[in-house]
Amino acid sequence: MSTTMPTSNDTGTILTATGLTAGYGKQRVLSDVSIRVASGEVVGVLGHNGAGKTTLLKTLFRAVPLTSGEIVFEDEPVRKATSVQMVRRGMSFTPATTPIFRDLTVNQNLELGASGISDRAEIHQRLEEVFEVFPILADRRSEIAGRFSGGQQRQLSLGIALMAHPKLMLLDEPSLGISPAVVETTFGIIRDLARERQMSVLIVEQNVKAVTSIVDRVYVLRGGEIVLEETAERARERDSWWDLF
Amino acid sequence: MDLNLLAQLTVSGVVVGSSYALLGVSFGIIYATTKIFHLAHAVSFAAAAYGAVWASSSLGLGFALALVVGLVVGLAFGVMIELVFYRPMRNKDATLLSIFLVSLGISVAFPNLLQLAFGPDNRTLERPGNPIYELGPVTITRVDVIGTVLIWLLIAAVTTFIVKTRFGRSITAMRTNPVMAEAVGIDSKRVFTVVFVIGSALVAVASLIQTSKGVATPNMGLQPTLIGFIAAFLGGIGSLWGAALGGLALGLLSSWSALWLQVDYGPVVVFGVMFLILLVRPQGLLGKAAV
Repeated sequence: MSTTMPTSNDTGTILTATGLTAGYGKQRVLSDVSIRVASGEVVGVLGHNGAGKTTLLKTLFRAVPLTSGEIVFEDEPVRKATSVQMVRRGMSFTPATTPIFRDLTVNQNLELGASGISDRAEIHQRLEEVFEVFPILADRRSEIAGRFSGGQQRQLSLGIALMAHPKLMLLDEPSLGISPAVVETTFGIIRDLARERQMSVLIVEQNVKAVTSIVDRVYVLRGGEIVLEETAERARERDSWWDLF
Repeated sequence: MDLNLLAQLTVSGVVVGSSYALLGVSFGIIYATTKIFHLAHAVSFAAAAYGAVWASSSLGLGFALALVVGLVVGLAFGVMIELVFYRPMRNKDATLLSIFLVSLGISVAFPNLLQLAFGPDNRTLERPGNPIYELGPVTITRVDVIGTVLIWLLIAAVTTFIVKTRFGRSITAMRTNPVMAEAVGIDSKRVFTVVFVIGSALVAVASLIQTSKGVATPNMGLQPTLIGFIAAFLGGIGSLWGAALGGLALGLLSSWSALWLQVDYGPVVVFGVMFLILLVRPQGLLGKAAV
């Protein structure tokens, strides 16, 4: 496995996962996985279906139990933390499929994203922040989210995550179910958000081109193991990814 | 057709259907949110009735206070089942089938415990008189009037709580998309506990209304629980108003069937209607088709 150091815009490490082994019941999905995300860094994890990408995100989010290994988030070990506690600590997770509440309005979806906040004025301010990033959501704030297009639902899902003011966003295949043009726009927004807010992002994807266009580093996951880590610059120079998948 | 009889059967159907509606909402809110087929709902039903009877006969409390004790006992049993049995099983990744089997076991064992504690005979709650009102050809008792009004006020209160409050929307979020609910930091344990509080309190009220005009028996909980389940599925899982209307429809149809059939055929009509509606509209009356 080739490895590289994080890029020069690092101001510290926000997440370190070491030797993660995890799965469902007796089925092991991840084997000895180690990854690191620096503050303000955008990191991609590439791999085909069944490589363990979603399990990796859920394990980091503490929704899948660890068999062995350690996770440190903001210098605190979080092996025994719950998902609810991870949200409170500043980690968000956006699932690949149905990342919104289809029966609720845009406003109600976004307010659920701030479920740890009780101050109404604070929630209102965060809503306005999200509407500034995604004006389409402001125009349709009272509409039922399930009627939106795939791209709009994806924007709403990012808005829900932003409502918690996360320090690290975990995004599971944000390109799923949206057109190539919308993928480009969405990934551009993700990159801009990370830069403007000094927010870290960990994206798992199959869409190599989209991910490598915005990340600082990539990992490749195959059969539940990390088989490659390199800078996005080097990744973009690759002619083919099939041999790695 | 005898219109006087039809009017009386309609009023009786509304009274019975309102109880079914409350049972449907109480079962439906627990099932739709937790996905647990909570057959042990029967325990809360019976515990509420026996709690009131015990408070009245052993503690000497008056009727109203005995009902309050019954409500607390029914609610406490429902929440205890969640905390002592279901939650530890979920923590161990038990399947829903395993949890259902435990629920079935509890619902079978509890009547025996009641029988050991209170004996096999019917128990009656000491209660004030229950005058009968006459409205033209129709008669209705005071307990039925108060019970029916109370039931629809409670259903309206619960649905308003779910739709209008932030915590209510957390329940909707957990019901419709548990993965996403967890992702935004909604505490499933807290939501499930509140749902059991609401569902158990509602079924306790249904039990206390029934006990206020009838008797308490050890096996009294199972049939109302099954009716609640049918009403919830008939109306559409996830729609509380659907469950309420499903229950009301069941009560009316069961009552109207007496125009043509012997009264004993009521339960047959109930199950027949459930079969037909689920055949024609599997998502229930107000439920949404799977997408």
